[in-house]
Amino acid sequence: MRCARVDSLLDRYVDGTLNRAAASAVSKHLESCPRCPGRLAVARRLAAALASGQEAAAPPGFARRVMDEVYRQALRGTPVSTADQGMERDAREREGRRAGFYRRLGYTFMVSAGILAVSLLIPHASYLTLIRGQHPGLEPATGSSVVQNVLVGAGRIVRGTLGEGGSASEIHEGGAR
Amino acid sequence: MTDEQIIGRVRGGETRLFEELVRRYQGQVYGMAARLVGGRGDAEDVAQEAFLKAFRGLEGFKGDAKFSTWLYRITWNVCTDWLRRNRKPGRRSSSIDETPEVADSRVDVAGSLVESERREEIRRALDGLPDKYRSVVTLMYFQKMSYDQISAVLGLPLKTIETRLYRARRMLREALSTMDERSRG
Repeated sequence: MRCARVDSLLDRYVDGTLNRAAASAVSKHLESCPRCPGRLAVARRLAAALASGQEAAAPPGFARRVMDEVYRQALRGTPVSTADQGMERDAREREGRRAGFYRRLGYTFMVSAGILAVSLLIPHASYLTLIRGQHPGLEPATGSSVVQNVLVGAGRIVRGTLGEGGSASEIHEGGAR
Repeated sequence: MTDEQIIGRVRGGETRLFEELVRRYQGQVYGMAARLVGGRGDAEDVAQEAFLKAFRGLEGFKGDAKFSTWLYRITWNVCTDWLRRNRKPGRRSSSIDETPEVADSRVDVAGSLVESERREEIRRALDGLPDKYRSVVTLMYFQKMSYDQISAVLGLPLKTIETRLYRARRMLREALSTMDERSRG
């Protein structure tokens, strides 16, 4: 028998699970081989170490902790594993972050829209008030007259500021022509 | 009361009886988790997860296999999932007998030193094995399972288990020889 073959049978030889003929052939080889007895010693050491493996005991209170979780899940009605709990918690946090983002985005949009509306309407309202104060006979504003009045008001402001003769409405009308 | 009787009553609504099954198998399940995933905290999480999965799946347990085999298979699946999610390159893979809570601590000091040296040697050698070999050795020698049981737990043919065990032991022998050479040199 060659060394390679003996090597492949060594563990079963040590375990005593080889048939008699094979075991005898291995024994014969071991008596005359200078290398294989060393391998046999290692195989025996390995077998002894593996055979000495002891059963680990669970930590104290382990069963109680498992049952606590079992009851917790039973009470919830929708059993969720500890790993699933982690995933569920992550998903909730993600969902919460996403909802928070959209909520903040909504608030930002509303505030921006409000600021825009105020910035557009308040100056116009003041122009209209100014115009109506100067022209008490003016008809209540309609869509087109509001634009015209605003332009007149703006023209007055521009004229007043620049000290020029034209008005913004004339400029506008000129442009339209 | 047999496992099957307990299962029947748990299914009937006596949830508290599940604790008896946990107590019966906690050593095996925890031991398997400790040896396959490593650290004590992780092992407890994995073992707990295995029991919770078993509890949830109890309705679906048909009794084709023994409850213990079914439970170990669940444990194995939870362990492999954990390893897939958490294994980092170079991470120490196993903790053979790192756990001090062994079933019987009544050993003499000299004997325990030899034992601990042997265990440390094997632990280091096992660390170097790929999971598929390490798992077979763990189930065989530390969980004391039969070939048939290992085959059922891992869902692999008997022949594959035999081949893996043979290769694993060969690799372990080589690892031990290399350690010997290093310590001599």
